[in-house]
Amino acid sequence: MFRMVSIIGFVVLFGSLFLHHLVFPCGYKPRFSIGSIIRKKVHLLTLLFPEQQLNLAGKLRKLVFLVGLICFAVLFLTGFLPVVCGGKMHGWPLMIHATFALVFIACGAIVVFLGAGDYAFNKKDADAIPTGCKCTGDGCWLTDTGVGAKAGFWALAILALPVTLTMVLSMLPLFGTHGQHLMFELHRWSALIFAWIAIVELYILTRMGVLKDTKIRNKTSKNANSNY
Amino acid sequence: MKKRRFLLMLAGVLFAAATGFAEEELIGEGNDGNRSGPVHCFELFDETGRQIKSTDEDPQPFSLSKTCGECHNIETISGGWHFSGHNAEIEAGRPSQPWVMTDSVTRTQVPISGRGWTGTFTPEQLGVTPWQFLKMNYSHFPGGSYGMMEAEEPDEIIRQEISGKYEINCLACHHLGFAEDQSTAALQAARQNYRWIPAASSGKGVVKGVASSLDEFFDPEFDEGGVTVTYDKTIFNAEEKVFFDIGMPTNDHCYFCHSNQDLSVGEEHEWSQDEDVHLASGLNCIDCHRNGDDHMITRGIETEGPGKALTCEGCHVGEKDSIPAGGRLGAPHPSHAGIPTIHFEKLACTACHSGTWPADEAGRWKTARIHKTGLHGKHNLKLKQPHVYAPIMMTGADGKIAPHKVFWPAYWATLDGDTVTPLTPEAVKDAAGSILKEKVEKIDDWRPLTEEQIAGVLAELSTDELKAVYIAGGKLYQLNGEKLAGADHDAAQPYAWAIAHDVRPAEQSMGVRLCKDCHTTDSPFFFGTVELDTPVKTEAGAEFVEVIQLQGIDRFYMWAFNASFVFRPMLKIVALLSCALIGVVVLTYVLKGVGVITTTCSQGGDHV
Repeated sequence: MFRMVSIIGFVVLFGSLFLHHLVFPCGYKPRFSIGSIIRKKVHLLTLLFPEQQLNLAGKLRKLVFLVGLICFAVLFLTGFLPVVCGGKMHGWPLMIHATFALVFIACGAIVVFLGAGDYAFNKKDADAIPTGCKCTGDGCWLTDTGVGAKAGFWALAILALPVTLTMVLSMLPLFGTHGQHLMFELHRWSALIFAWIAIVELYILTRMGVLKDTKIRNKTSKNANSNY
Repeated sequence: MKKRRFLLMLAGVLFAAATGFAEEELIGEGNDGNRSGPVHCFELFDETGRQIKSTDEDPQPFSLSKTCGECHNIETISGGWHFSGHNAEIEAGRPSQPWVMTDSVTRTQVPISGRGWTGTFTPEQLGVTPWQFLKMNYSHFPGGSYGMMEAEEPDEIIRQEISGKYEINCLACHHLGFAEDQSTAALQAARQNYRWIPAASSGKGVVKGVASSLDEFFDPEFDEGGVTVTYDKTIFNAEEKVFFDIGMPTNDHCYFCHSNQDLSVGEEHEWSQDEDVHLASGLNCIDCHRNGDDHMITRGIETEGPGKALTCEGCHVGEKDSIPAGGRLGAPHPSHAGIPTIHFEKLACTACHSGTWPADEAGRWKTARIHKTGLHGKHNLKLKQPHVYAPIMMTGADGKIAPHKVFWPAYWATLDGDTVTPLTPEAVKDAAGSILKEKVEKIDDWRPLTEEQIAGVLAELSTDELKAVYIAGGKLYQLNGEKLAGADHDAAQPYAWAIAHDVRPAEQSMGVRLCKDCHTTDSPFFFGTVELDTPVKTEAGAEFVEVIQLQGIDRFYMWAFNASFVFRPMLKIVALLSCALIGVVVLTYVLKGVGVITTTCSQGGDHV
């Protein structure tokens, strides 16, 4: 059951994101020229670097986010790959999973603590919802206005609690065999939902980063043209 | 008309075959549901079927197959675990404690079993006849099996005529009379007084004479001075019937063959040892180890059938999908708090609950059958060999780690490709006895064997076609030119059998002190050692092997996994603190949001 849901879920998720990207393009034009594709890849890479205008807390958040991102990738691979392949997580994958989980949750806590202010909903978000519902504008309001990113941030923050607590509490002499089974089931199902949302969140953040840079570049080039 | 008559006749024959000719059910078969035990007062019969009476001038020993066979189907019973060890057609079951053939001169100790368990050899493979098998393993033999097989060698045929056959000794387990004495049964077996065993061990008669010392021309029918039995005449009632206190076996009956002794405790402190927690709680062996007429006693490892409910899991957990069966016989339900469920996939219940607590170095043990314990008086043997080590946490046939007893086989053999075929001690003695029979003090333990001796014997045993090898201490020794070389080989692996008892109380189970009971980098569970028991003496002295090598687990992985437990408390603290921080932030913003909502709502309304 879990394996089937995981496989179908990830296929649907990645398919949907791909379709979304086709329907709501962002970034360089023309979209499918070799030059655009290469520039896109380089651009995506630059998104990993901390921006120069960030303050110390911002830089720390970015750094911790990147470490967390690596941990997420490792946890994702060690957690879901054996299951999707029809096996069970044990041996080295289990050990790696547990090791990276510690770093991941610590990173998660720091990111939530430092980023909560930026991701707090405000009146602008409330105004964007009716606008978005009218389907006006070029992009997708859900992914490109920041509402989706904020929703994802809080969803992940809340989901991090059951994902972590189900494993940590099962390590304490609190739950018997039935409780252990329950904790394990809760862990993997909540982790699956966490992974889905995290992938969507990463997609949204990447889009937003690209859009933001594109916007800045366009503005800069306009200014340059007007100076001439 | 003829055809009709023929059909009628055929129908009649078939009907008769189905009803009349069908084997009649004996009195002792089946179960009408009445739980009171039947009184066993019956006539005694000798092996020819003649009734034994108090007035007999030359009383014969009673035969249990004839006496008990009046009411019980001996053929059905003979298929049971205890009596079918010779029969390869009956399921082999999980590898268990073998019989052991030892020979001090040739430094041989080989596990034997007619069941074909991996690592054992059948008596046939070792050139051991049923008669010889019985002579080797007389003391704790339940009768039947090899004891009932017809001798084939001429001299053995003659001896069997004198001694009789070793019938299934029903009384060994079912006779509750205080006089029942298995030590006496063993003494009679040692004397080859096989047909007199029940009469002597039950205390119903006094047996005199030693069959093994009788001349092979002795004729039991005509010659005097043979083995005799004198019955206590008071046991016969007016109808010439004898009362036997027959019932279900007690723990003492089982203990005679199924006792174990931890040699690290010392004989003088044996009294300080506890019994299995189940027995201490008032249960008996047969509460879990039950059987029907077929005597296929449940072993606690059944995965289907009624025996499944008599396993550890059956009583303590019970079926989940049917009528609740847990708590059987008052079994407490285990909480296993804080133990990840992967433990139940990788470990047998016994891994944490049975045997003694694993030590840095596995201790030596004695078992009743292998070391012939429980024999009193002159024939108390105090055997030391083979050296049995326990508890060794090894992976069993079901893929789960469980405590095992092990001993290292030692024998001379021939090597053909990768196939090892053992040589009989007699063959080795014939070929190279002079090299092995050095003048050393007779000791009941390994007689040291030098590498020069091994090389000398191997040279004598090897032929152009076959290469001789010696297996001992986990190594296979063979000659490379004139030089002796020892190497690892599958055939040299220790013979291991799972142990289930004594079960310790829950408070003494592994894991009661949490993960560190097993998950440390020097935990005896994984990194304990067991001596490579061998007569081969080297300058390096005794060698040891780590248990993890016998478990088939990658050592570095297990070491790293256990080492990671150092960080486990930190993981718990960091994770809980992280969750607390996330929780506080989420709660703060949720409250903020609620504040915004209430403020927005209140701004638009009138004051109440």
